[in-house]
Amino acid sequence: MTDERQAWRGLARVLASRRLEGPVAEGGDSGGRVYHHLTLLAPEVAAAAVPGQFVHVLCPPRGGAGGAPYAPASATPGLPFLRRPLSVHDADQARGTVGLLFWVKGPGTAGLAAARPGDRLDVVGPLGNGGFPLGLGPALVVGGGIGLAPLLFLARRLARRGRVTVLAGVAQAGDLALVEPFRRLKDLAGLIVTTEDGSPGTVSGTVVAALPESLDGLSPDGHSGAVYACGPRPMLRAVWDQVSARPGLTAWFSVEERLACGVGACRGCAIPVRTGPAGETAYRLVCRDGPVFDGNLLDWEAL
Amino acid sequence: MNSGTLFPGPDLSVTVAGLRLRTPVMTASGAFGYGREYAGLLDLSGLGAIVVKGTSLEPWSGNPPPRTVETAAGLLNSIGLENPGVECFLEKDLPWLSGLGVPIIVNVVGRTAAEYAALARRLDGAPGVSALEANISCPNVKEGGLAFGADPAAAGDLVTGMRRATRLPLIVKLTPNITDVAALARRVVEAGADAVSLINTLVGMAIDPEAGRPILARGTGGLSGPAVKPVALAMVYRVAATVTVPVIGMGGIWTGRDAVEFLMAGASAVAVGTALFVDPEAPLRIAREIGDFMAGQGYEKVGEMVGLANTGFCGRRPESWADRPDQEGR
Repeated sequence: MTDERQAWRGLARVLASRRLEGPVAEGGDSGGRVYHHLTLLAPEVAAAAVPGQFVHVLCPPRGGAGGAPYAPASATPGLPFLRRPLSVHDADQARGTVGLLFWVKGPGTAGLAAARPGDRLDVVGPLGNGGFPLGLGPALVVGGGIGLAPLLFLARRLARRGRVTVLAGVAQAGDLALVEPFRRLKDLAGLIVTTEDGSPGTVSGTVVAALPESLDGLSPDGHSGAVYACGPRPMLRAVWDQVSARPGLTAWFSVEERLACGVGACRGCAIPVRTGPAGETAYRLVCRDGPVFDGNLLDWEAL
Repeated sequence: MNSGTLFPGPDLSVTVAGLRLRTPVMTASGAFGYGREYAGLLDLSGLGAIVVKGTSLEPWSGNPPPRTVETAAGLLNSIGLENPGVECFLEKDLPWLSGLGVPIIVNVVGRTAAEYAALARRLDGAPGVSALEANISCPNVKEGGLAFGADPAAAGDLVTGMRRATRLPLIVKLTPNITDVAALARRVVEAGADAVSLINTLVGMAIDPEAGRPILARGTGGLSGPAVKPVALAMVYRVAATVTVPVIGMGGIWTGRDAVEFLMAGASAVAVGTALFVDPEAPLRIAREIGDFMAGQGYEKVGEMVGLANTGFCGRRPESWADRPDQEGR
């Protein structure tokens, strides 16, 4: 078993809360997906977090908590009560802030999105294993949709060390706000943006279609460097198919599963992994052993 | 035992099945892992007892994912008793746990009655193990678990076998997925159980309408959380009125008042499970809230509340307290 971990649990003050606005496609349809960004003051989390880790946040009831935290003692019927795992989008140790970027998908995240500056959120974190291993060689960061959330922090850290290219894919123009923070990142070797609706200024299609070219450009021989990916499972699988066909590349994947406790106690967030050369399999926990896994470890057929 | 600075106010200590607990609030098996997972998030020494995750003779890998889904005021799980096995527990977890100064109760699970007895034998005399809790009520495994727990005769035989194999206090965890929980409770007590705990989770399901199939990989799971509290309370009430051994009550306990309801239904202690996922300090908070309630209502000992609502609805009679027969006398 792992050593006891030192996650912080406390009330983090909301410093900023904003709905992400992207360029809206012609016809005004943003696709119906709403994304939200929160900036929390949580120095303990900011100091300890590494890219790929997450925080477990108690969702206040929609309508605003009025500065008071949502009491853990109140389980309001009809409202979600479990914490929501949100990847660390960004962390600023100097300011003690943590950025969270999430898709407003249901009543829990809607409650979070209703948080106002000055509100306090009950946070546990950082949680997860040591995150994305940061190598020294050339790196390609591949994200799809809200899977881009944990990759900003990663790209920022990687860019301090070496050559980093980001391949970011979203479905449509309305989702391009997810890509904006990457445009402001300094020192990226490249940023390729794909949209399935072929929005102006982007490559039409998915990251999967654009991946071969990016892998070719990763290193002179196309066979060295590290790939980091987060996104929907079919995307991850397609990335692995391409990466594993090029010996010499390593690949790390941030994987999602429904999770309850977040600390490895309930064993709820199991994913299948390969543990031996003869096809032996086992389960690992996304919250404790992940959410970042080596592509070689994941049991892609069962995933 | 002094509650000390963690729990100022009334004396919260209770004795259950020979175990002296600092507070009546323990962790529920399965929700607290092996304790270490929560180290740093709460002061484990303030727990009434730690009930570790269901442990089998050999490692069990558990069920395929998805294993959990949240429902209205509830959580469905189908973990399948994933655990590293008793030898791993004895080697890696028990030495650490036994240093906490808190009673350690090992929840055990097997595929056959013989495996339960073998576990009881293996854990008998293990330094730091305070008691066993036989999990004969997990709804998420084919063999073991519910196969025994829904059949009073089979449950009785299983408990008889365990009773012969260990001198440790033996708690039997009962299923709510049965018509007559009282008959089951009576049978396991006859077979030698020192206490019963209930409820385990209720069989439930959630379906993904877009996918047109159940969300959990195994279809059904066990429901826990605030949604099950009234069901749990009624079953604790029923069992407490039936058996003479202590009852450990659980099912959706979120607050001190919830816990007091279970005590008044006849539970001598309570366990907190799903609430831990929301509030890792829930067992300590709930113990403090029980103390606050007692101070406000003038109770001096937890035992004064135990079974209070379970005496023909006569409620509280402080002035005639001495006249009330104790629980064993009923």
